[in-house]
Amino acid sequence: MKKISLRQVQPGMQLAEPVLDICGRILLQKDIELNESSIRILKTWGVPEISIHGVCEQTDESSDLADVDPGILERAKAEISTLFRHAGSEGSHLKDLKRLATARKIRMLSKDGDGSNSR
Amino acid sequence: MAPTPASLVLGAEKLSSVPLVYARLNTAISSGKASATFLGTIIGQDTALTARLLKLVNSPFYGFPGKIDTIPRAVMVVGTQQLRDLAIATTVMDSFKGISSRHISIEEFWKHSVACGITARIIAGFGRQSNVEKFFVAGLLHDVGRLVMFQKIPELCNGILEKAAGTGALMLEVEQEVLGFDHATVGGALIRSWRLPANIETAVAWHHAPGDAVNYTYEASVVHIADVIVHAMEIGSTGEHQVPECDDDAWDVLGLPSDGLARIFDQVDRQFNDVFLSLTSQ
Repeated sequence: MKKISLRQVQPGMQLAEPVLDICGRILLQKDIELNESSIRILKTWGVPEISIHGVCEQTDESSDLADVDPGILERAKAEISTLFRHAGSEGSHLKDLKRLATARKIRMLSKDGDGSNSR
Repeated sequence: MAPTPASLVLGAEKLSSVPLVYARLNTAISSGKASATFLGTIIGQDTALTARLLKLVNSPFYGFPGKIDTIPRAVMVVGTQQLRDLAIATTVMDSFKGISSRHISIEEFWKHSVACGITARIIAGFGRQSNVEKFFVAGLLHDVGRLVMFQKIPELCNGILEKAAGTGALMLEVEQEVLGFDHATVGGALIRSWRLPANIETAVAWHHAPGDAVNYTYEASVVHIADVIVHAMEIGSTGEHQVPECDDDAWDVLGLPSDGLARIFDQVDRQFNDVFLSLTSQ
């Protein structure tokens, strides 16, 4: 089972967990196979990521990262690693946090080239 | 004489209008006279506060479809206690407006604090809390102790900052090593001196060790995790540039759904700019 972002969703993928809306109501049942109509539901409800059946990732890279410039990828991973140095042992939540932080950092670095998080 | 948390916040209640505004609003609410109009009158006496609150209420913080242009209407839509808590948040930021520091960026300080407030509020929403604004206030104030420390003992704090930067240690640990206490304890003491509710005081005092809080563990855990998340997102800084040690149990207290973190990242990025502007623009 792995988590993927809405960007990566394709028809034919199978849900490993039900998709809930922000109130906890079931939008899509577990184990269904996604088609155009169910993907539209995900987009309409702004679901950011889903869990699908598939090969368990050994690393915490999502397949989003396949098209990323390798220099940016390395830099992002190094900076996130330093950032999390004192955060503690990696339970599943911290792993998730690191994964999301890395993906966000990659987006930032790719956008403005110097990684400045000026908001 | 070595500084203590108590000595650092001494006189702080006189330096800020936070206790005054809070007391006035609270008296009105508990007197049973808290009609939307009456609260509007109290808040309306402060035009700056009114303007800020209305900006906040009309921002992606709430995402209301129509425009809310009076305080009474804001009270009706947002809730009485919620508006009181938002008023606290805006008053805090105003009362610290004149502060500057040679050693840390005040703007970055508030960016981190506002982001933490937003994050805590979102987390509390997942936990179906009835008053999420309370968590916004706690998140906003979680590092206010550090602001007090940089004001009252700037050279000592700068030493702590430099030592942490030099060794790569967490600033929190260097604080404890050098002073025997940390900014969380100072923050809690300040909030108590302002006579704000005990749950906000506890959330701030124990935001680095929520499991050690005797009560209000949920509140402390929310602020703890919100702080960890905002550090991971690198929004602003209160001097610390690394993710603090994360209490694994705190996640379980929160009961976030499995896509909760992704939603939180999304929402914080969506809300941050407008909320920050509402609270800081002139």
